[in-house]
Parts: sequence; C-alpha cells; structure tokens
Amino acid sequence: MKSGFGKRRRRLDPILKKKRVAFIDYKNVRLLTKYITPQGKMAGAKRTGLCTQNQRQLMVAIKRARFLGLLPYIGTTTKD
Amino acid sequence: MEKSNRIYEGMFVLPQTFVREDKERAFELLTSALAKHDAEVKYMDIWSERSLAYEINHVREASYVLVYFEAESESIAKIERTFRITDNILRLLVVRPEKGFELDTFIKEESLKKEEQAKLAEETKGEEVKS
Repeated sequence: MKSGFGKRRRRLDPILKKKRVAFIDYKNVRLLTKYITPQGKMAGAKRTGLCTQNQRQLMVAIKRARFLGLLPYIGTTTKD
Repeated sequence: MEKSNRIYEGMFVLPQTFVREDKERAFELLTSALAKHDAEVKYMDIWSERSLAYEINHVREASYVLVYFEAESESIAKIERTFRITDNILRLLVVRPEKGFELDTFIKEESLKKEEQAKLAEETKGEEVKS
C-alpha cells in the first residue's frame, strides 16, 4: 500500500524499537537528519508518525543539535 | 546542609585547529574552569570532529568535547557564564542526562568501543605492512 497522509489511521513509527534507541538524543545526528527536510525544517508529527512524547523529544533534540552546529537552521534550498 | 550534587552532561564546541594544536591544553582549559566551580569531571573525551552546519565566529571545522561532570545545581549558571566569556569556546550546552542514563555503564561501553577501534586500527596497520 502506498504511504500517504490521507485519512489513514496514524501509523506508529517504530524507530525507537527498531533502532534500539532508548531516547532521541541530540548527539544522534544520523537519526535526526531523517526528520528534517533538505531545507532544515523539522517534520511534523503527521509525517514522522511519532507519538506526542517522542515528537517532543525529537523537537528538543533537533533544537539542541542546531544550536551546537550539528544541524543547519537553514539548509540548502534546492529547486526541483 | 546536604549538597545536591548531580551528574551533568556538557557538550563543548571548540575550533578544530585549536584542539588539533594541543589536545591537552584544550582539555586543561575545560577542566580548570570546571574545577574552579567545584565540579568533578567524570568523563571527558572528544566526541567527534566535523564541519559545522553553519559558520560560527568564522569557524567552519569544530571539535566536539563531551564531558560528564558532577556539580551542584546552583553552580551550573556560574559555569555556563565562565565558559561564555572564555575564548576558543564556540558553543556550550549543559544538560541533565536523560532518565535511565547511567554514567558507569556509559564509560564502560565507551572504553570497550575504544579498545575495538584500537584493535581494528592495529589490524589494518598490519595488513598495510603486509601488502
């Protein structure tokens, strides 16, 4: 089935289980980059499929990583 | 009164050139300032060296130093202020580790990782010599 936002029930992102990550850490840059767009924006909960608690953890982690220069505030703006 | 000491996680961003020049001096800079505020350093190591996502103070390449230290909660603000006015520190972040974090297990795991890396490095060295 094609994945889309539609009216489907929210699918839970299994990253925390699958990757065996105890929590979303700002040091885990590789994980965080999956949740930002090429422009550097964070993905919303709708897109990430994370539960509220994890989405919040993600937000804090991304903001910390940005502050430290691990992630960009503004990424490359590519035109396709 | 009983002191309320806690473990804190500090991440310090220093220019790579500064750390490469003299790693010990860079570590000394951090430890001495922490010691001034009665913070006990439990773990300190270069976490990673990478190019910054954006330029900070005209610096593009940085070394990230991860420090775990035990300090009184009241001295954290002072520690942060000291580091803010210290040269050669681009950014710093002091946070309390996530719930479930245990420093001892972390240190053990890290030392294991290092051993493995050292082994790997030696093995590759040996292969290079052979070939």
